[in-house]
Amino acid sequence: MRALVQKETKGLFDSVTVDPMGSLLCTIKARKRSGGPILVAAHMDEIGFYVRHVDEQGFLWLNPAGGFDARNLFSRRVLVITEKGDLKGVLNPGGKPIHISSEAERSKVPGTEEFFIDLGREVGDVKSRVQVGDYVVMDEPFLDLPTAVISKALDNRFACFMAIEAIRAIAKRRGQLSRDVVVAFTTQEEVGLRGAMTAANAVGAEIGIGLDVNLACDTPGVPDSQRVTKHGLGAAVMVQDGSNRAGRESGVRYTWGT
Amino acid sequence: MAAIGLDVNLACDTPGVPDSQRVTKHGLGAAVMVQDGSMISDYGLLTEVCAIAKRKKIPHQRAILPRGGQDGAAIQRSGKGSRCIAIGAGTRYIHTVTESINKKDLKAAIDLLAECLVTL
Repeated sequence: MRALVQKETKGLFDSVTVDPMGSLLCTIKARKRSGGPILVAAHMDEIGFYVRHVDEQGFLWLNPAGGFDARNLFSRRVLVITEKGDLKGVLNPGGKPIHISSEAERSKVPGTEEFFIDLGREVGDVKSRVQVGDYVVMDEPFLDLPTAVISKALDNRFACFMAIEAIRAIAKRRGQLSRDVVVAFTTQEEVGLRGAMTAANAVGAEIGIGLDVNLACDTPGVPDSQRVTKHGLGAAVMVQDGSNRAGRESGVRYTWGT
Repeated sequence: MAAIGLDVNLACDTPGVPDSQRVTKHGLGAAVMVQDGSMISDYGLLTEVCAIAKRKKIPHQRAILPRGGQDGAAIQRSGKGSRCIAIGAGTRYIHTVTESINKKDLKAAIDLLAECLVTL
């Protein structure tokens, strides 16, 4: 992901560095400064899993990195990222299939720790390729539909795209900047906003803009009062979320997303 | 700048815990932490530390601890940040007066830290 961002941003910034957390800090210097820097943050990481155990049958057991809803994990195709290459596999919870399970068994939603990966390989083959700590990501194709794009990890590749394209859009107006602009493509947002902490310490921003997906619960089963945003009504300007409230005077002012 | 957090890890290789949740197993060597509740180890350091262990023939096992943390997490995210990893030994009956560490794992953990300090 970082390599892709580096490729797409080539020539757009005055300097690009990787910090110890793995975040990419990209800076455009203002010719005349009227204030401190603007820090724009978009996280590169996606929710996924680590392999925590390879059992004696060759099944992989997982620990999540980020918040999965177990209801969305049934019957998924996944990729296990190993040192020897990516392996395709399937994710399912332990337990009986529909033909031999009782209604009570089927009505229970398993915890994320009850899901395992079947790689469709011999035990020895699995053990020679997979080790504890290998990454696991979802393996679903991108869909370009008439009014929407569909993908895994739009949270938060969308925001990386948003930042890159906005910087590209102002490429010819860079001379008008009145503050240094730093775009931080951060790591580990999904496990507790960790990458942004060191990026923020390094930059010392006067204005912060967080770029992230927002919710659009304008779908069946959710009352309109709880929709958060509605598809098609435009960019989401965030007033308050669980982590941040927009301030009028100082500190972080806005969090934008879609 | 690199940092190493040292702490006990869990060894739930005891009755009543499924093998998939054992975290570490007594006697398999020093625990090299991939992820715990407070930190994800730097991937470069993780591969480097495991390579050092392999080269020096120090028994080691990679460990993932779903909850709990160690000091490395604070180091990792202080100031502009540090590359960070955690090393320890799997411990049975944690947070009781019967905490138990395998002697082979204890020696391996010491050996591994010593080799890391001179190599990293």
